[in-house]
Amino acid sequence: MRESKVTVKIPRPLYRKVQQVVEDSGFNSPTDFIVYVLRDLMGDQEEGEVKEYSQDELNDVKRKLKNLGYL
Amino acid sequence: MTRRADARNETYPHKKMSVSSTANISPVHGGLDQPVNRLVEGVDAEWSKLAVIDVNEIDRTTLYRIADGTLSPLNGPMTESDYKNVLRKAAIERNGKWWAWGIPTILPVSNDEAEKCKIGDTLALAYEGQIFGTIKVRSVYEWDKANFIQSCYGTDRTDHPGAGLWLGDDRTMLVGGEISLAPFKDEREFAHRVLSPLETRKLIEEKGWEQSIGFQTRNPLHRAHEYALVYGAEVILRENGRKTGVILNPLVGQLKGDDVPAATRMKTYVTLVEDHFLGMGDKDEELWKEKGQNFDEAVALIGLDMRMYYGGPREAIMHAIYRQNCGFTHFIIGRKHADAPFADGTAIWGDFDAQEVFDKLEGELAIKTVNVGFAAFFEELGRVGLVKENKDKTSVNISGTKMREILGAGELPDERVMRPSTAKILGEYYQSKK
Repeated sequence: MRESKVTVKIPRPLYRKVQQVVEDSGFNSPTDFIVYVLRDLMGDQEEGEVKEYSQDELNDVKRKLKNLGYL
Repeated sequence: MTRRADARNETYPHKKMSVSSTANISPVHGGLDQPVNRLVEGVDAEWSKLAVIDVNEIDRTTLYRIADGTLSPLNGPMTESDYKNVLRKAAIERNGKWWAWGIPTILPVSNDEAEKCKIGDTLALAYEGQIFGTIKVRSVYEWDKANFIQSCYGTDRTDHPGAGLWLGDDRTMLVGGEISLAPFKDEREFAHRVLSPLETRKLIEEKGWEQSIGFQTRNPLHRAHEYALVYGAEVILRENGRKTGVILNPLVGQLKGDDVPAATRMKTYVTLVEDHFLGMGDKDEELWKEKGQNFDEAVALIGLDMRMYYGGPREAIMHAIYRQNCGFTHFIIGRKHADAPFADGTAIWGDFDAQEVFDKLEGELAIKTVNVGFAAFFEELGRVGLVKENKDKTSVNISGTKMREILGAGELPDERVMRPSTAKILGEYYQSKK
């Protein structure tokens, strides 16, 4: 279950500035932008996307190691 | 010899990966369960519609090490907050914890490119006009090179190879964000020997290694150099008798112009390993026998496609992180590790700084370091040994300059210093340069 969100108050002039920035960007809303910037400042990067390897890919790895004479 | 081993293991009880009954693989740095993987199936036609950042060969190498997980937990070049934390305390923060990181992992861009980078936008990454990936921009910031050099190298002086790397780069802005890259086609003749963390971890699992020790090198190996790997492996084997993997793990990325090229070095390493010259006459045969293990079967040659920073202690931290992400449990730190002096030949760092930095880390690091000192062939021993243990004996030495003269003349140096198999290959290389 996703954790609930909280409301944070910021000065209205700052909010207007954020709105202006967001208009020219790929962000959907000022909230998205602020969360993004805060995460960046906090060093809270999303963890690397970990792709699951297919059986074929794992077999390729094994084949490579075998060809090197390690297996 | 192994330091902080127990303390570090205590921080990773849930991450200790025992994937088979015996194999022991180091946890991924940054608290991840698996190495980062930012590779996608191939170049997306949509990428050609994006604004482009042109990268150089070194940038591309670094980006691919992020993409294959060698630089886990990064999923792209560093944002400003990570960058500043690394300069300030040699660590990055993830999930409320600090993790060791020696040198910022950066993507420099030109001012024109920086202007195109708006936070939240995705740009294409290109090398020599060929788009190979994308970056979703999270941070655009100025690159204060003087501060960068001072923090990473511990000196304001810039007359050393490390500073030269950065000052020779015209770009003054940095971009951080998340990357996605198409697979890299490595066409170098030794490409099959360059393994990703996924592959090295599989190797450890298949081999059932209960511990594995990596040795970093950017040079052809003298017999005394190779002894560092032999000695380090014997230290941990003697301690616990566990099934041990011994990995000769040279850097094959971008080096200084006067370093011997990777293709030549790899040829010398291949003969050392495949013809079982590595450690011959120098290893402790009794020890390996007593522990029921075969040194030659324990050795693997694995190339690591990463550039050098010539950054001494800070770079030693990076070298350890790469190896932890490869799954190795131990990593050898020599005296003057990753060292490159000032232009006048004086040292930037103390001989042991790169070993001692691991006692002062402000972030976690799971891999254990094994310190090894200088070695030489000693006449009275009839083999290579550590200098500090044989001060009263007669060592056999050849200076670097003399060695290049001998090899350049097509002669073989004293085989107590360099194995003939290595010398023959290097001789051909030096003669071809004439």
